[in-house]
Amino acid sequence: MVEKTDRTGGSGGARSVDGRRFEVFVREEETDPLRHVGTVAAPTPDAAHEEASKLFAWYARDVWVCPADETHRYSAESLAGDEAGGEAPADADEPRVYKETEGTPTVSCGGAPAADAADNDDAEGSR
Amino acid sequence: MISVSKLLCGLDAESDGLRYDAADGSEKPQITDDKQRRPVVVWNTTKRCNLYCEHCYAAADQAGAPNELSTAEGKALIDDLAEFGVPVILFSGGEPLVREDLPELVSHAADAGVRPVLSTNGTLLTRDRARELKEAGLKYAGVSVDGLPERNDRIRGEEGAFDAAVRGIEACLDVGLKTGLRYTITEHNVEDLAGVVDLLVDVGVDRFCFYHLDYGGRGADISDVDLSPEATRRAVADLCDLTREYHEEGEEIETLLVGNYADAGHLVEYADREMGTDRARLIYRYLERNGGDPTGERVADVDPVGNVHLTQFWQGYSPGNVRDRSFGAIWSDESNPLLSGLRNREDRLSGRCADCAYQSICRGGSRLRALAAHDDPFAPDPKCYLTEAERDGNAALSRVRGGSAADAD
Repeated sequence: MVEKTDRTGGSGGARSVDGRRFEVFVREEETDPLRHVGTVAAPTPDAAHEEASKLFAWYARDVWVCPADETHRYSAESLAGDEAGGEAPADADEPRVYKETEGTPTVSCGGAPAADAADNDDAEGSR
Repeated sequence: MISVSKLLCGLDAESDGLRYDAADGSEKPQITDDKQRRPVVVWNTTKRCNLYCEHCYAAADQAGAPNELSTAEGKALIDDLAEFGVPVILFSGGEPLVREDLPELVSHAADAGVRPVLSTNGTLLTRDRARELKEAGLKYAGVSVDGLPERNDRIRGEEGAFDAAVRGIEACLDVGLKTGLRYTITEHNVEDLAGVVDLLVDVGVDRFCFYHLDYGGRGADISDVDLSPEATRRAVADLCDLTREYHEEGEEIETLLVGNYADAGHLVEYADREMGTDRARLIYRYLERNGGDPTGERVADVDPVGNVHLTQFWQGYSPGNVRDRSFGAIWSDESNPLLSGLRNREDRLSGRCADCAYQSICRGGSRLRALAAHDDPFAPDPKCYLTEAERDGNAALSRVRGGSAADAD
């Protein structure tokens, strides 16, 4: 039996100081997996693609971008753990069971979209 | 960061070991005895600021950002940095003094063994707050002043900002906190540079950091008032002259240049011209140990919501967020092609930077300015102000290396 990972959160909410940010994924060769390479600040997906292309054009075949505030992050560790203050969504306790192994991991969502985790004007405004 | 006073006047400083692997030759207590292996980390603790400066790389304002790192998260970040071996944390902003937990965070850094220093506009520094920060373990406060009163207040968007900043500096000095000036040079204030140094020396300041404009945040919006290459050359030469004059008069001020590693080549050329080739050769060796532009290597930034950046000025891109994984994990992840590319940039620099004889002490200068000007992080820095002969190695470098330009290459 493989020991399950406890993934805890606390990192919900806006991921941008100013305007929107997009998570960026790139692929070098057609047979490669997509690789997460960070985030860029941009107002739209097209602008994010343009920014990412400046940084990774010499490297990447494919560039995918995803709004940072729309990304659900389930991580084994979070900064400051329970003290971080992130709010979990209603389905945070929903267990996930893998076929290959036994047991039920403890899962909570630390990277909920801003509107889920902190429904306020500031979070909405950062999108 | 290049110490003009160290290189031209031999002034010892606490950062000699960190910056030039020269701790053995310094009489000052050292931040570290070993050359820097981990980055100095700038933490923008908040986006909030009581001023609105025209060149602010963090685009700070009164509103701040939602979801800024909490006190607990800040302490966890500091622990994370300590574990990774980060030598120095620079508490910045926005204006870090708007955070009421600043002394608590400074104290936590000091206890964790990460040297806490501060970057502030100085206007909120009273004697009580300066004393509280010093007692918490703060080692240094850098106060931003960008001109004599009229120009400074116009640049900083607040009448009275100059006087308030000077009062803040005096408060720090009164409680025995080492304090220095931060000055970003543009066409708007280059004429005030010597006057500000003269005025603040009288106040008791002995450390002056001069920043070239980098094109991040609102700095990108005013790139049209960045100095021309010729004007930059004059300003840096004037600063070298000023530093030497002060030292000749017995005032051992510390002067530093930040943000344009063409300064490295220029200092070698200046020393060769004004002080002789032996001095220029010594300076060149120090600068080789310093390692040139530090982007993605010796400096890092964490913004108010936890995004890591490759310098404090380059806020548009982040390789990761400390809320997802540790700073050390993000910084060490060379599967990131941009991070690894910057660390091996000699293989990728293009144009005049690719063949420059000063590449080993400059490493291409600002990659952010290259990106802003050419949409390519490995293109030439548009603000290199060296001459073609200097870049070809046909000027001082041919003498410093004791041979022909071909040998220099």
